[in-house]
Amino acid sequence: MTTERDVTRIVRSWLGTDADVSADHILDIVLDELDATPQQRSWWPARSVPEMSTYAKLPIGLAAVAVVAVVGAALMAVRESDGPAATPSPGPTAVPSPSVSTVAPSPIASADPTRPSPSTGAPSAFPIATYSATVGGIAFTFSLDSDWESHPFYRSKSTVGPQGAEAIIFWTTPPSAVDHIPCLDLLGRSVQSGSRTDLGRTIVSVAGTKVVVGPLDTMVGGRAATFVELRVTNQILDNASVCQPGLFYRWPPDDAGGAMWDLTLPDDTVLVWIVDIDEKLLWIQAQTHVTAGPGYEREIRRFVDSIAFT
Amino acid sequence: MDTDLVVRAQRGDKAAYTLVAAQIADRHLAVARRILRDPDLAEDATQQALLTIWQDLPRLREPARFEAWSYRLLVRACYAEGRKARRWAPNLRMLTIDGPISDVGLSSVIDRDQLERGFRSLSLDHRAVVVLHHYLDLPLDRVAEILGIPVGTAHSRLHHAMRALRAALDADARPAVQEVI
Repeated sequence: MTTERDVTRIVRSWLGTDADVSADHILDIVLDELDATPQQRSWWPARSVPEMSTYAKLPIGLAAVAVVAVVGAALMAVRESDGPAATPSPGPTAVPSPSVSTVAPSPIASADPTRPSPSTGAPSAFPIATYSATVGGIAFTFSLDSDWESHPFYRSKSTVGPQGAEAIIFWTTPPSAVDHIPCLDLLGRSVQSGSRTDLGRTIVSVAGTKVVVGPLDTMVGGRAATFVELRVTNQILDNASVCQPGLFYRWPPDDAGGAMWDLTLPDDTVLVWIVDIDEKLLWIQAQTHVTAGPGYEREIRRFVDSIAFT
Repeated sequence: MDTDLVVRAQRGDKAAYTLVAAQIADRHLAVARRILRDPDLAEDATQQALLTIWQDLPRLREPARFEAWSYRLLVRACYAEGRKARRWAPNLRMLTIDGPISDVGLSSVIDRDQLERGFRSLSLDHRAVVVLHHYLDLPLDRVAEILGIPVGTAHSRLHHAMRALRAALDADARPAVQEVI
């Protein structure tokens, strides 16, 4: 019988004696490709403030406050003079339209848990951009705060960093236009031909979650939908290999990096809308970590509220 | 890693990134080879990671945390290559042995073979924790930071992986005993 200490020693020596080779040839290839590989600039600057003196930080801070005030005033002026949201641009994948609008959430009764309550429907601190997307033949437009990062078939957001996302929104057509549904497979029920209500009933019984709301009938973009809100429990760790990174769905890695959603963790919130569109189903799922503030969920619900099918 | 170099590379200075990449390439390749257990996949993952690091450097908010961030992108590239391998082709290539075996505590080549098989049976999530902790010698809180997981999850994965490797080593001994009986 090998003791625990033996195993550690053996594994360490085994890893240490693996053959190593120089990466020079890889380096040559990478450096050759740099010219053809543009860097992706983000809207935030690389951090340099900690290196400044206190005296330098003060005027910069005051200037930042002044800029925010001016931009805020400008946005308020735009909101007062603007008409409806900008016309969405067509496209095979989600792309921002050239114009940016400030979309206020529509007034909805707070008793409906699938909608933002009046107290959480405050305007965003960021401009809201309008996008179009097509998945599984279903075309729709939506609006989202512009501080969410755009990826080919999902959006992510991080303000904590350095790179881990605190929230993600993605969409697909079940059973899977993206990848398989390992957690649903665990339930042993057919999700291949399930109706909207079947899927809603199925997902509330997935292990590693507790139901907060639903399944409830609601409307998204004028279409009948089923809504479920789940809270992830510690039991999710037992299904670590099959329910990751996103509960219910996986997706190909986004080589572009940015704010990355790595794992579904205990206490995450999972919001699912299953929308019925002419006998096709659109699955919209959003997840937030506990590190995400209430503003994230407000923005997610505003996103769903903005969806229009084209 | 020199933070000034990282900052210069963030601003698009290719000469600075050349120095940064030269400093990390060998170690990244070594880590990728140990996680993926395949030289070709490891080279692809390292190449992809080095390009992604260049692309995304401007989005790194804390240059002082470059090392952890770069390993994170490397592990993600390893996951991507590992998935490709599972999806498209069986992968039976073993890494070569380089250096002495007996003086480092391995009782035989069979131990090494058992370890190789045991390690390959682990998920990439578990392999990454083992390699970052036992090869790079990183404490588990840093491993957790790199992988973007809670420290408890890193502990749990390491425990599970080491238990599986121990079982693989012990399994080698059991059949021989049974044959005697």
